[in-house]
Amino acid sequence: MNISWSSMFANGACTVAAYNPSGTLLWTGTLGVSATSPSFTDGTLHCQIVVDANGVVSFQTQNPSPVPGYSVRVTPQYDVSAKYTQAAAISGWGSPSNTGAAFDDASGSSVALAFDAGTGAATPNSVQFSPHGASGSVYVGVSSSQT
Amino acid sequence: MAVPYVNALQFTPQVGMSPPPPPPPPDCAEIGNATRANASAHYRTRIEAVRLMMGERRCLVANFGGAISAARTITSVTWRCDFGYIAQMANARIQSDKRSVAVDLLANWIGDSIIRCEATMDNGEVYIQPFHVSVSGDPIFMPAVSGNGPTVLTAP
Repeated sequence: MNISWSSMFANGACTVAAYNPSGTLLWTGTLGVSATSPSFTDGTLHCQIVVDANGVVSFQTQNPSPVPGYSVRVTPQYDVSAKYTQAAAISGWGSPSNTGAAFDDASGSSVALAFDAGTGAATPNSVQFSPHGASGSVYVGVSSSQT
Repeated sequence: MAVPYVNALQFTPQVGMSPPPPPPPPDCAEIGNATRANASAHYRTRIEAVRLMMGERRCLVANFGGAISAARTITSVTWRCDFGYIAQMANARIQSDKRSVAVDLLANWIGDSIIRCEATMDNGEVYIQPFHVSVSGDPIFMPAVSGNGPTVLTAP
């Protein structure tokens, strides 16, 4: 089955949330394209989330070392009950595909990943995963469906 | 001086939709009843005579609108053909009114063939409309002949 994909932000702003490795919500808010979240902290770690004009989400920190275990969740605010969702990466690890796995670009080790199929317009599809390493080189490919 | 953000995880959340299904074939709109049987509510054993020239391709329609109550609709249909070399069936379907059915028919070769339409209603009743397809022609003008057609087609 061929599915045509477009940015989750192309149809409107999305709710974006960040969690620390303990699962504590650090920040949540609404972001559209070309938007930046306020800075938020987890202890001494300064973080922010940026969405560029192409709908690429960047979870950024000021820590020069990798900060594994943090999660970013993107949830559309529009009805996706009849659609599919996926997260695809932009790294050089490989071409995005629907493998259902996430890998760190450098080590190839798995990244925790959770896909929530949602139950309808009130709790739509979303995807959550934890960055493993640094450098923005994380490849993620996952897809699921909701009917 | 502000500390720059140096670590970044990047990903592109996406939504997708599978392409819509192809539109249903249009209802048959031939004028005349050469390949159309209007099933009777009173005479249930009538066989519709269909005479075609070899090479003609058109749709065969069984209209049960006059044989069933206004509340009934057709939920499935089976088309059977005894000899698929003479009459080739394709693309069985229920028409948009849900009270008539159709199948594409190619008069493939000279001879006679029986086609039987079995329509199942939403209440489980089954109505049958047979066709006697007689194909005429001259082999001198033999069109491109393809092989046997199916002997059973169902929809949906």
